[in-house]
Amino acid sequence: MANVITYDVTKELLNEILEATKILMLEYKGLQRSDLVNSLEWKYEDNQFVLIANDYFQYVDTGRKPRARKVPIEALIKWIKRKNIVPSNGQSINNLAYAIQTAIFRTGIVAKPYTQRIIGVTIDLLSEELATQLSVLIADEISKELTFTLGKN
Amino acid sequence: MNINQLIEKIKSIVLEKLEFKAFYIGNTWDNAAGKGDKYPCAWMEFPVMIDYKSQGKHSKQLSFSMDFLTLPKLDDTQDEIDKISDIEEYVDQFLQYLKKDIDFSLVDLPVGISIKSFNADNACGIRLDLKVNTGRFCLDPICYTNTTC
Repeated sequence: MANVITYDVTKELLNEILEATKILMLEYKGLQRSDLVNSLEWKYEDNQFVLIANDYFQYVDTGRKPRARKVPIEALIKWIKRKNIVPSNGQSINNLAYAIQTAIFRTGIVAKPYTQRIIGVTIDLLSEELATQLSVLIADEISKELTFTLGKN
Repeated sequence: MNINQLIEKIKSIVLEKLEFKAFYIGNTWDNAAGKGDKYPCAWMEFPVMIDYKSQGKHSKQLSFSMDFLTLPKLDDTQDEIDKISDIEEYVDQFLQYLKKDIDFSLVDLPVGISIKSFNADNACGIRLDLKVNTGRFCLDPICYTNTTC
């Protein structure tokens, strides 16, 4: 019966994928100072690679159509406060939040379609890494088999 | 007037002259639900911005925000609007008391905005941005009246 060849997904590999993902996302204007990139984390669970990120990851990817449902004003106020954004003269935080909400409603948000690109880059990296790992493991198995056969004779 | 004195004044208006049950300091959304918050309540958000420069040498400007909140019935839009309207009237009174009680002028029209599901309790109400002018602390009044320090 043939032996099952298993391989380990190392922390280094996950870090490598994470770095590649971050570099790719940082190419998009507006993400350089975003918490989104810092929230990224790759995990390997149940034979699956899982990307963990802030919950708005998908919305940044798809953008927002003009005239879609209005962004909650409460979320904008919290965001302005968290980012310590000081409104320009004559404006208050409430004014600014309302203006942003209206602007998003009128013009939407341009999509940053990174998901497909991340999948592509990740697959490239993984195939390369796994091919190297597998070739070493297969070579080991063959050499063991050969030693065993030679020992028998 | 310093921040502590301002807090005390606002707290007394909110709790003694209006029908609010509690006064808190900080950001309401940073606090978990079920900690015994009483509604309707008022929150004074921090930080308070102090502008020493733009108001000239005799006064300074404090910018801060207040959240006046109450609990609506869950998934009841009409009740939410009713409650926000009630709070809107409280804010009207609050501003009048503030103007009357405190010896400073409200500047830059106070701006309110209606809010809902604002914290973990899903409270609704009015968020008010305020800018107020107040006198400066000065041990030697000559300093601020005759020089440009």
